[in-house]
Amino acid sequence: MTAMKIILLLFMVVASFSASAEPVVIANVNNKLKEIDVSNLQDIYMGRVRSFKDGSMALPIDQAKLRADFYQKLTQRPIEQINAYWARIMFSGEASPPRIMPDDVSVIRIVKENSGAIGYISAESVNKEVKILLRFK
Amino acid sequence: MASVILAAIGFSIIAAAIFYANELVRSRQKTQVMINQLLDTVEYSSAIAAYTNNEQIAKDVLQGLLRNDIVQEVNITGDQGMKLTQSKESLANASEQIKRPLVSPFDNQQVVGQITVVSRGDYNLVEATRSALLSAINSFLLIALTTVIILWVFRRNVLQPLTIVSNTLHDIMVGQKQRIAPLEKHQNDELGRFILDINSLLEVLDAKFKDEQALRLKIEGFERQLRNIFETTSAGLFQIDQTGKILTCNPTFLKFLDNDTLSQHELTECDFAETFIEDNNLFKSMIETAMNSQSLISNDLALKVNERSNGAGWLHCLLSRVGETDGRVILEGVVFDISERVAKEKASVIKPNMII
Repeated sequence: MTAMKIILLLFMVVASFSASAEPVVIANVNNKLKEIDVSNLQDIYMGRVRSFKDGSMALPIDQAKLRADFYQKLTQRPIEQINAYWARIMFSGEASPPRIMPDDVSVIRIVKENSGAIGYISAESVNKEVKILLRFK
Repeated sequence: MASVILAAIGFSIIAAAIFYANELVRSRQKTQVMINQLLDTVEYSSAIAAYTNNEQIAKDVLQGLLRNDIVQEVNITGDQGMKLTQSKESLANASEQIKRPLVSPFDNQQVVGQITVVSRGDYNLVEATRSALLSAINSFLLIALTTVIILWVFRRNVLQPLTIVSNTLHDIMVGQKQRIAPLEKHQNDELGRFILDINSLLEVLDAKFKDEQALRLKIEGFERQLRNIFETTSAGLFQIDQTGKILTCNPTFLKFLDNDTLSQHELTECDFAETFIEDNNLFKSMIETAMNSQSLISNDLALKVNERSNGAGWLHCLLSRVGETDGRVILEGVVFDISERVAKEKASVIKPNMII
């Protein structure tokens, strides 16, 4: 009986890690987009465009704990390269990287408060205050 | 020496021209390589600028590129409408354009813009000219130095010894015992052998000269003896051609003819038979017979009577053909004075009649 509990516990831990390793992209519930493609998301997060395809302003938000994983999935580049990229752009004074929030709760709060905000959080943190635009496979 | 120096200068000029043309091509290739290297350096920043439509980064890239001597003009375009061009203020001619597409920093398949670099037209010429000039000076100095050294060595080792040999040889008179002294530093080389050969030739020439001199003296002795015989013999000797014209004769022959009106020259031009022989037909028939028979013909010939002669003179003549020179047949003759014998014979014939 005890062994069964241990196995179940391990399964839950693994399942929990698996769920957290797959960030989901969320937006304000009032956002007109139902989903977003990777190309458009990349353009927004890498500063190429500042609006969604429907023309509304986009406010990208980073999540500190998921940031490396997110950018790896989004650009296939390590986080160090992304930081260097932003360093160049910041030095020009014409743009700045997305604001980094410490956790999923902070990201949800920002997204909830700004209609154009877009962020990424762990899948298990998703609630009804935000809507999912993209799931990484 | 002047021709050697001129040849060296000419060779330097030709080498410099070839090097200049080669250097121009090499400089163009080098410029292309350098511009491509510059583009490699700024490509990522340019791609970021085009990707994010960031003009500030693009300007930094342009200004950075324009600091290079070989770059005259730079242009960056982005797919979001960015279009920046900067060029140097100098009026240097634009030369080659090198274009490179800019791909997205996050997707190698997505072209987000283009960067174009135009190189300075005169850069290659300046570089090529500078390199060619340096090379020309270098090669000229090298060739000049080499030429001077070669000339000095040639003069010291070849020209001066040859001059000594030439002057010595020039001063040696024919028949002298003087020879060219061997040169100290050229005992065993070509020049030493050359001097030995010249001395050997001089020895041979000297021996030949002495032999010739001795032979000439001997011949002169023979000639004197023959001339003595020719001039003092009791027989008259002469040569005539087929027409009877006297070609040459000895003093005895002239003495027999007892001629003093014709000079030696007139004598040799006159017809012997017509001038001196009473029965000239007889002599002409002797000539014909001698020419045809190839044998010795002899006959007694009566000389024409002249004022100085006391009576008719008689000659016994032996005539034979000698040969032919330049189509002219030569006959030689020997005459003996038989006037006395003929007179005695005539006297002995007359006496019996007188008795009768």
